[in-house]
Amino acid sequence: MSLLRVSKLKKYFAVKRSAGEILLRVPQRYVKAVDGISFEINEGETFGLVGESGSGKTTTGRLVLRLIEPTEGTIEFDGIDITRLSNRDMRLLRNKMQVIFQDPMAALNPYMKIGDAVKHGLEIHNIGKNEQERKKIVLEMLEKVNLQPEIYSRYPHELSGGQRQRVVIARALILKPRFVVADEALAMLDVSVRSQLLKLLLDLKREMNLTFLFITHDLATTKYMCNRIGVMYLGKFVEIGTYKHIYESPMHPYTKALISAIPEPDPNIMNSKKRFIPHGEVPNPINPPKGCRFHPRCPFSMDICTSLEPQLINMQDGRTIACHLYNSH
Amino acid sequence: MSYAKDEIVLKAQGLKIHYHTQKGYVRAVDGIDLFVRKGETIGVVGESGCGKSTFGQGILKLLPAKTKYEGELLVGTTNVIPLDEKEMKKVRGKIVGMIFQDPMTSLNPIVKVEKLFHETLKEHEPNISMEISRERTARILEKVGIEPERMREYPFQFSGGMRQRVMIALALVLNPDIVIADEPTTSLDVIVQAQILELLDELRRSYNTSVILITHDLGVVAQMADRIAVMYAGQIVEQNIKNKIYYQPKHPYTKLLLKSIPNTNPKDLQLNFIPGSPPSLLDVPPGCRFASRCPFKMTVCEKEPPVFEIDEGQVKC
Repeated sequence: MSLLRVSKLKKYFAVKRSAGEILLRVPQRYVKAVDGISFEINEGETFGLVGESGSGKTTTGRLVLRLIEPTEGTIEFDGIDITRLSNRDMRLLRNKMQVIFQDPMAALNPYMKIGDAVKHGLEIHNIGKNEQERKKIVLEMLEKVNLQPEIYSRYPHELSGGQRQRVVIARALILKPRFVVADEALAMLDVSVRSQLLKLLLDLKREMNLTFLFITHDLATTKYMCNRIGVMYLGKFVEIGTYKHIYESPMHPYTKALISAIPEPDPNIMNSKKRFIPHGEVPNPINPPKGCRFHPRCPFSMDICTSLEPQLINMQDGRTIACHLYNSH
Repeated sequence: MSYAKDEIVLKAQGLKIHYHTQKGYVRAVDGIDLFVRKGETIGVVGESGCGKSTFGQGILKLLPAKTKYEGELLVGTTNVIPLDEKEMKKVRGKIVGMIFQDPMTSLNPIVKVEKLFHETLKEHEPNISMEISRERTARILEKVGIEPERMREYPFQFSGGMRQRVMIALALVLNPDIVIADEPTTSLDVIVQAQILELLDELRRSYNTSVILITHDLGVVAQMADRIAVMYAGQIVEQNIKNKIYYQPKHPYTKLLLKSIPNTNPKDLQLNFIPGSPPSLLDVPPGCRFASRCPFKMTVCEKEPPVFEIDEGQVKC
């Protein structure tokens, strides 16, 4: 059963015009951060979003939590279209949907003790009879993320990066959410700590039956976390499949490029790897290329790619892909 | 300066760099022996706080005034430790170039690119005219894949990848013998990262420059380096040619570090990590610095471990 169903979701950000441009009636331009995406996440599943900066993955994460308002499209959470909910009704749902951000130092108030920060959610949602009971819930949660009880009365600056990220995870999970958006949650950590926290997330996911939207630029971590992965380019999906589809036999030229660019920590694999690095950079999302958005950088570009935007089609092996190379016509 | 084929362009011996904080001196680099040959890339890897960036900046003495330097650091044949600021300026850029992680904070965003180059060139050739420096800027920009006309623009008008190209050009414009690249691609996306690394390697070959590549990313050094030095808590625990480090690591830290990288092999779902965290460099425990996290700890580890020479490398265990 799908817990989250997103359809035809769009988010256009208005580009600021200068006073001169307004006077000259220069038309309003938009950054098309997310430009019509649809996907579903089943209960207990982890869906990975990968892509380069500016591909729209973070915007997608914020949209599904309704931290920002979509321009178009619907987001159904557990059968309810949350794009239509009032702020008040949305607030009642918030404890079921939580988020873990990349930078724990920015996510934690530096003047708030760890215990208070983790407890805050309980107070807002009126969980726990009294102060004592809330403290007990917090301490239990801290134990779950392998933090010592002393941490309760410490400040964020007294902790290491790994410990801080554990606190952020504890704060997100204390309300027993069903759905968690993890936006580059492990990106700032060193390798040895990153693996520790990845293991923690996996354990908690199993224990609490969590559903994740896992946003990352690091493909290696998606192997451990994600059931399915969507590859984004300029606000659209180019390919959606399992880790095996995406990593072992990528089909979309952009996915191929992305996979071949990953530096492997093994000199032999690195030397034998077929490199396929496209020239140039991601174009401006204000004015994405016509037709297929990847065509100016794609070595397999055909005439049709410059004029007609490819739609996502289902392949026999279970993946979906938007590329004219695999269309029958 | 000209060098014989295997000539050593940089050599650190018993190098210590301790920098000052309110809580006392941080022993960020605490006894390093390392040499760099002409034209080779040496990867210095380690986790945050191991002292790898301090080492990189220390080579050019770019650290705050109260920093204490000890030991010997030969750049070419000159020991730079006793040099003062004025003498160091002759080394910076001319003999040793530097590429930083974040090109937005290290390039002045409101100074035109051509002026950035002119100022750098003027530092070493005071009488250089704008004309000549423009010519040289155009030549080097072309080499890094930027249209020379763009030298009239400001750094903020460039994308992240393009800014890093400007930075590389700026580090190479005086044709230094050594380039220190401190996390040169950490803030970039993978495809841009691959482009920049390819460029850096190409330029290294065509100029026969030595590169000291400082990074936390063992994938990046697997691609780029000839030799690798692994740092932990201010010291080099192991150094060797690349394949020896990856396929026959000797130090327990190197072994565990390599195992803890999430790999991309779909069949391998095992997750490994090193429990605990590195010691504070304000107050370093005696003996082996990795002992508290080491699964092979012995009583002898309470004493400072000796350095063993193995094949072409060294291990401190």
